[in-house]
Amino acid sequence: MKKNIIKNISVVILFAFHALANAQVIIPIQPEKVSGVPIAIVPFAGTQGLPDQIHQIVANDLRMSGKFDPISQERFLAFPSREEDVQFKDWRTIGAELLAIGQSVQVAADNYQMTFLLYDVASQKRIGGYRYSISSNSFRTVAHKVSDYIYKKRTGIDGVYTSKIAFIKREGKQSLLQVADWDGYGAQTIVTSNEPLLSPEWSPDGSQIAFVAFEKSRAKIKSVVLATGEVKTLVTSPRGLNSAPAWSPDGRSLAFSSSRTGNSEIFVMDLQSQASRKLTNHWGIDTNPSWSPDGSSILFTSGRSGKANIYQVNAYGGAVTRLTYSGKENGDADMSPNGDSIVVIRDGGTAVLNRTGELVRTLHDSGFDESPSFSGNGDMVLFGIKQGYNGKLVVSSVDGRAKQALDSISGDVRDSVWSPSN
Amino acid sequence: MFRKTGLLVTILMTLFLAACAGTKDKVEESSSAAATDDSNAWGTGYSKDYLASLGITKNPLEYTTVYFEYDSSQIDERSRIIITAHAKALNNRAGVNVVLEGHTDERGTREYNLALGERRAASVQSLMKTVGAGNNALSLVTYGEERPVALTQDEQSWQANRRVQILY
Repeated sequence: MKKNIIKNISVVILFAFHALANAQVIIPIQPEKVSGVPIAIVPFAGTQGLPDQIHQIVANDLRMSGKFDPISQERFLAFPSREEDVQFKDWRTIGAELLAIGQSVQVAADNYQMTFLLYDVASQKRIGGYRYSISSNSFRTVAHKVSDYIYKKRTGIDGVYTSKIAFIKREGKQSLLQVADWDGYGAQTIVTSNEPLLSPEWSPDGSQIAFVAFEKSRAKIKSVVLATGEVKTLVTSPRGLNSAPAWSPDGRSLAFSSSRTGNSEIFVMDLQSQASRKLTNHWGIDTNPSWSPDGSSILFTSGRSGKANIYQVNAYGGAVTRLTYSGKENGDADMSPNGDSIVVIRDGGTAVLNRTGELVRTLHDSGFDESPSFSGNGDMVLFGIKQGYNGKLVVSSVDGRAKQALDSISGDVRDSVWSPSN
Repeated sequence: MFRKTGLLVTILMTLFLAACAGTKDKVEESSSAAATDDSNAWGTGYSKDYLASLGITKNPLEYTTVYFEYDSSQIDERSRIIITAHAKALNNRAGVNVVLEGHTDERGTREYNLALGERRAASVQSLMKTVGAGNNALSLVTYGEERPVALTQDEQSWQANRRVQILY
């Protein structure tokens, strides 16, 4: 009886903390909910004919989280852009729970004042809004900010719509490390090489990208500072291969795979002291290290059972435990930001596993999927697929409800990774 | 009935000899014991027919690529004969540097494949050192799946890409 009371008190305290942490929540979304929040996003007045249509970008952003279902414009009964024109019954009729309207007014040669307003249809109340002063080339960025605002207002979680992705593009013999918006727009080349580049990996503060480059036919780990373009070598060794970099969540260490002692093993290097510790010792190939969000353990891919599978080891070494037993092969694990789930390549498909390695769902199965990575809030997964021998990038909501090929990125692209949240 | 038994004995003998052929001494013994000129083709210790059955139809030194099974660095019979030929030739030309470049097919993670390419090159290096190129500089390079020679998604292409190239 006494135990029960204590249990109940702690539950109340937890609730209190939960409520504080989610002060912005309007209506909490139940995780078991199978459909998204119906939202109507009206085309913004004053943006007709512009190449970047804000309402379309916002609708796509929100749809891709799997938590929102934007309503098709064809069902709209009105197209208001000002508060006085909003008739809530128009939106109740088509089943909208949220309504977003906005307008853009040109105030100078290349200066626009963009306003958007967000309404809760059931309560018939304005629940938010924002005004931005922007130039014509920042419409996309502002649209993503609007998405972040709506997303957080409804879910209490930070959106990832202004975050970036990094990937490798192959153009003939050249390999390019590029960075783009999460939806593939605005790609920029950061590093170019005549030898293959692979395994880009963001530092936790988003300021650097580690990657694998070849120098004199040997793979080594480098990093590039995004603000300056400065490239430096992070890991090399007198013999063997160094690859698959993974920054620790605190940014102080780098896990990687190295064959400096004869066979590919997992190492962790302190970036300050350059001291390395070897975490694995097995004749099988050990690679693709990936940190748990709390930095306590590392998942990696190993061929030690005869087929590639996911294993786990404490970040300071010790016993290795096997995580995946189903499917023929599992590789390239990435843990969700809350540590609850893992995304892997399983028999050539992209699959979500629970923390103990059991299959939750398959997001995609081309037979040749690659390099899965979670968005900073764990809503979405970015991965590579093959179209013939060319790579293409795909984003899926983690619940599998929404999928989108990043068609805005042209050419042969692969090895993608999502940036940390801003 | 007698013929059948005779055939069985022959098969058993062949199997026995094949089982013994793993060691160098036995290979030389069997080649010297064989009667035809053909039995030591290009100094390999094997007959042309046998080599042809492995796909080796010219001097093994003219082959500079050896192939592997999926996710494997094990050296098969064809590769062993080709690698041995190169190693023996190298031993006669001390000071020659050789690069062993390992590659994989597109399946599996890119990072795993980098390691697998290196492991394949190391397998070739290890055999070369054992059979006669111990004093040569044999350096290992891996490109994993980054430099395929065949670009279709079928077993034929994958087989062609799972390779080590012996580069002089």
